[in-house]
Amino acid sequence: MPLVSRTLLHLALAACTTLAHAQTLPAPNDAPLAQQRYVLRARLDPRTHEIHAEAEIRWTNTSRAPVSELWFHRYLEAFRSERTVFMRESGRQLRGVRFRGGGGLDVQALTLDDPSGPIDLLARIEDPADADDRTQLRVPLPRELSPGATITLRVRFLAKLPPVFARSGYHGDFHVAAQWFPKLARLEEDGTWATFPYHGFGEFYADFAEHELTVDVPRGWDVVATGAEVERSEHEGHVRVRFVQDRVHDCVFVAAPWLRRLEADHREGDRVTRVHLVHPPGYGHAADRHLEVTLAGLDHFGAIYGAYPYDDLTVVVPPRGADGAAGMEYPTLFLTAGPWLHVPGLPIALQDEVTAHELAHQWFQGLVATNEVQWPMLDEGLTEWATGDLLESMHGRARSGVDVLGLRIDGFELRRALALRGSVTPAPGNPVTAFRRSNDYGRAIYGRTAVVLETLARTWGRDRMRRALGHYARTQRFRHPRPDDLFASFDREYGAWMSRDVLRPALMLGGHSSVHASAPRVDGGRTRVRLERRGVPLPRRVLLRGPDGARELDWPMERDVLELDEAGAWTSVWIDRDAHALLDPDRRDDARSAAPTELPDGLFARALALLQPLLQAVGP
Amino acid sequence: MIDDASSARLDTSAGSPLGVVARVPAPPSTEGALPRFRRALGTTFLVHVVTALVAAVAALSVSRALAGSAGPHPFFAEGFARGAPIAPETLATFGEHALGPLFLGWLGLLALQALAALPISLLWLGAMTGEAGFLRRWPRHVLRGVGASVVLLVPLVLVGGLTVLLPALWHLAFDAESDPRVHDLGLLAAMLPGLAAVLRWASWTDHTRAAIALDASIGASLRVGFRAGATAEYVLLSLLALGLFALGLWLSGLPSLGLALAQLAALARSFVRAFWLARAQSRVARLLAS
Repeated sequence: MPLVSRTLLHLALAACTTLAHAQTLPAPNDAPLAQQRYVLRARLDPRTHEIHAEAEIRWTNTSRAPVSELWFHRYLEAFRSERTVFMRESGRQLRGVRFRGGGGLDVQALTLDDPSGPIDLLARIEDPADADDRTQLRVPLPRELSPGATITLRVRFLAKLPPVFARSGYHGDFHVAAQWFPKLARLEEDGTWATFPYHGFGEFYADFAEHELTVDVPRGWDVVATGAEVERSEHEGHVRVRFVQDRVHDCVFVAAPWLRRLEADHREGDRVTRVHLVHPPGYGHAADRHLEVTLAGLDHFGAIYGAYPYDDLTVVVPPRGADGAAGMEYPTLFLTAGPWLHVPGLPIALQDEVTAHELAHQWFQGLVATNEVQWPMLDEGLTEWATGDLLESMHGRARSGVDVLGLRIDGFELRRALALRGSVTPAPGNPVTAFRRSNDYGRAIYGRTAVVLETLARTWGRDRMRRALGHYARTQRFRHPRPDDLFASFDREYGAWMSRDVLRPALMLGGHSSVHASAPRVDGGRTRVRLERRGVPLPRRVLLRGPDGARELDWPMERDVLELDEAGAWTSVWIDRDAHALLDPDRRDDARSAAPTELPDGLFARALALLQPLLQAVGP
Repeated sequence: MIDDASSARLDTSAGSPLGVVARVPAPPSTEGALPRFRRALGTTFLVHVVTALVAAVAALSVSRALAGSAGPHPFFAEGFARGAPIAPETLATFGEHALGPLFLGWLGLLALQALAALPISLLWLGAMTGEAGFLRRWPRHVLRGVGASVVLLVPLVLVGGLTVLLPALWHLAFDAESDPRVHDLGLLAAMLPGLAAVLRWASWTDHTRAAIALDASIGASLRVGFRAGATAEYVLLSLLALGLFALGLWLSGLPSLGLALAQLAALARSFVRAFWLARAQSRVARLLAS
């Protein structure tokens, strides 16, 4: 897209969303944090795919209770064998990528700074409860740590990356170091540790912390990482790069000898964010498009959920074959996905969706740091709706999904088909452990949550929906909210009935909202129709049509049954013709008519135009 | 003048030992493509109409199955036009109940059409010869056509193998290349020799059938068919047919007259094919006569 068009697109998006919301939304939370601090020094050996590293961790007990033990997550241990929790839950595959071999995280030394000298904690580490899973590390402290007290830990460790799988690993020269260092679990305010093994479907929950990372890679290699690059130098055949970022809850780096770079500035008021897009050779054309979507997304999400607060954002396009690392979010850095060739005019969602989705995660989970294992809908679910909302803003409703050969299905209709058709899944409000199959997890967490929120947007207006979610994202920035906090923001916008009657039944209980129309009975100049609704009480519009015209009625949410007795001959009835209520799993009984089902105009012509050449091709 | 190729002619050459009548095949007419094309206009139209009718039955089945999958919803058509609000249900039900039998039926239809291709094309080519007895000789031509097709299977296997082998080798050699363009564009380039060979084979097949319709033997037909070449012309006319296909697809989406205009494009495609067959027959006729 030419620069002028791109700029106009950004301005238009920003203007629309900013005008609609900025005045009614609070400023994003910017309260000071009790910062934890990680200083990480790593050397990547690309020959063995190992990271030799040290960490200095300054940790403060931010809870109200004394602490007698520490819990670390060392999630690379999930790839130690095929018997870990991750492998058992995922079936040794993720997103179609098979587990091909081992990784691991060996803690070689762990000491606690003490005025009397370093205290060795390694010997205190207790065996895990699950002998097959060592992704958690319980470390009893030599003495209790009172609330507000700070300690400094020093760790030496060896991280072994697997062939790229489940977001981490290597493919040829391409290395993604994610979940690569021992990270403290989050301590809740009541003094309990929110710790869990590395699950197949969820991993994130940690304190915001300041991260300083120094990475050594071989000369000729490049590296990008969480945060801002502040120093780059060469040492004895190695390139050493230092990155710093505060108020993030994770730290990753990506290294390869062939990274190409594309840079752009995103401005929002006085705030300037430098966008670094790195990609393999040959991906330049697609990289341009990823950058356009990223810039448009920063405008869109920034206007609704509060401006992106960091100075740097890094987007990584992984090479072909590194599918296991593709489409993954980390604070200030995400990996997108896609082919090297961007083809303008193809169904848009296919090409832009991953970038839009991973960018949305910068807000939902990056800045609003929910417990992904306990409430994945607050992470992936909200992100999925925000993704669809962005794509619809950029491309229009019809182009946000499929638009091929006259068949147009918008993006949220596709999500509805994914979420509501087929077998029943657990409700989105469940933890990841409630899901046995990745398909069910995707349908419920991504699909159903997005469908519920889009139903709100279409039924009560998109601006109100954005205001409600924007309020939640702004007030919960740099916090660790729960579903009740989300519902509170929605109740503030709509009223207390919203969470009670709609959100909790739909999200926490998995409720549908289906309707059924009886055939209109025309008798004596009057028409009688019975409309029934089951499940979540969503209001609908009802369209009546007859020989003399059409009229629309409101079906309020308070009434589950509507007996219409209208003057005039209305031969057909159609509930929710504009498809606002996406929570109806089957719309085939929401319209009735005396007339038989019509064949769509042009359907036969299209079918003939496709089939005839095939017959001619194999014919004489 | 006796112009029926199956008729006898007097061989009065000095070398005739008995000086009596001998039956030898008459050389085919070496007239150009246009008279042949014109002569077969009716047959071309007939072939087109039969194919169109068969396709229409299939298209109607698909359309009705889709509409049936919409269940009792009476506004299926309007739903599609408004951005398909009931399309997911329709397509899901279509997939559950209607798609399997329809797909199998369609595969069977394609197989039947493929089997019928040889006799119909020999009928079509026979009509281009302008010879009165071509219908009588048609069964014999079909038998020769079957024989020639069996022989042509051997080069088809070879060119097919080439089409698969070269890209496969390229893929194995360059799969790990960090710049994916090297792999992908090279793969496309590696398909070209095989594709060219397949097109050459297709042209050969049509010329062979054209020669058989002129009553040439299997061996002679295969020889002149191969010598005829004209792959570039085959490619050009195939591209023209492809363009007409795209045009037809676009026209079929027009709200009014879409079906009629798309059918005109389809008819034009049949006449492009007829023109190519006429050119092929004219070419092999000259070669047989020389």
